[in-house]
Amino acid sequence: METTIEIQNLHKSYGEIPAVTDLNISIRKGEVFGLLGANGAGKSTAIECILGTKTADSGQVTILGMNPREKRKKLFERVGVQFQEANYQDKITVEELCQETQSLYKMASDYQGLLKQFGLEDKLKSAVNELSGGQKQRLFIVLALIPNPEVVFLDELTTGLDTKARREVWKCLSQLKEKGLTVFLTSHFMDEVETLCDRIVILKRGKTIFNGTVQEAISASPFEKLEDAYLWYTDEEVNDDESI
Amino acid sequence: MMKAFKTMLKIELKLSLRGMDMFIFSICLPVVMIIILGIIYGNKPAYEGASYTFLEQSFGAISTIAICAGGVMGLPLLISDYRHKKILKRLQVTPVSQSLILAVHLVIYGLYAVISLIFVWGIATLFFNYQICLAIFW
Repeated sequence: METTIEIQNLHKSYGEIPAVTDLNISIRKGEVFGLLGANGAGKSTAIECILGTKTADSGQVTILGMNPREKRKKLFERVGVQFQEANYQDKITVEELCQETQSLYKMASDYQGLLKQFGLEDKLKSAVNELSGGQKQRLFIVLALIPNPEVVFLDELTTGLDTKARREVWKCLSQLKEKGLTVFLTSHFMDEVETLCDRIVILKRGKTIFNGTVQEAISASPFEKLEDAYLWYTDEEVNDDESI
Repeated sequence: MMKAFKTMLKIELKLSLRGMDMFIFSICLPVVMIIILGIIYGNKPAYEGASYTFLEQSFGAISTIAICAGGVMGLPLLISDYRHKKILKRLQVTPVSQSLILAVHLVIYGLYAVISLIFVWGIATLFFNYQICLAIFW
């Protein structure tokens, strides 16, 4: 199976502080990959270095066989992205934001069909900042799907959502997975990762402390749930430090 | 690219008018200024024995304010606001360049400047008997 995303030896520091250290990830087509870690572990920095919005100190990134910084115009016709923070204009309506996003791509999907699929078809004329948290997040998934992408990057999509909204977003992502999309998501919710992800990397202070499938992570630990295994992995590293 | 430019131009123009602040600063402000100056000074000469009125002398200054309200105040504020809202960052992960949205706003603020100039000149000419010495291309 072909490799859709390849990251090798990625390093990024902010001055003296290392944010990402020697990150190596290989993601195959149709996989859902999860990058996990606590706040400040380096997830957002990693995703930004991968996408090229921040310059890594060193390392190689290839998405669909292309370097995101060198082949930006060509690559992002096939890649959809949703960043963690909201990034839309004040007072813009749902329809206008979709139209503006759609116009940026050569082979875009019909946004009205996508809005209907995610239950937002009656919100066309509403201002984006008047939508509820769950509706906004669903809209952001729609925006990431408008390019009809082969790969989608989602940065902490369910942070701040209530339980019902999170389940709705998970349902949407499962549908995407069935269509064969490759998904790269970051999260610090283990239940979400357990439900959605095929393979994961756990980051702690920028370092990779686990790289493998969800099942491998659980089997290698004395626990049966990913959340407990995750805490065990991150605690284990703390214990190592203390034994020096 | 042209499709993206046209769509963005239409939507950003709508947003700018919806926001109202640039409409007020770029168009209403110079218009109010010329009306007030016209009411106060009317046809009075710029100084005792001048061959031109105070209003004629001030036209350049008012046009400058109109252009600067947009170009020097409004446009940098907008860019900084878009940067803060990460809108420019969003464009970095699309096939178009960030300069597209900047070009769109240059056109919009250019439009504001021209419309404002037309209004100021129109009011001065119609109501205050302003006679412009037009020397656009020397």
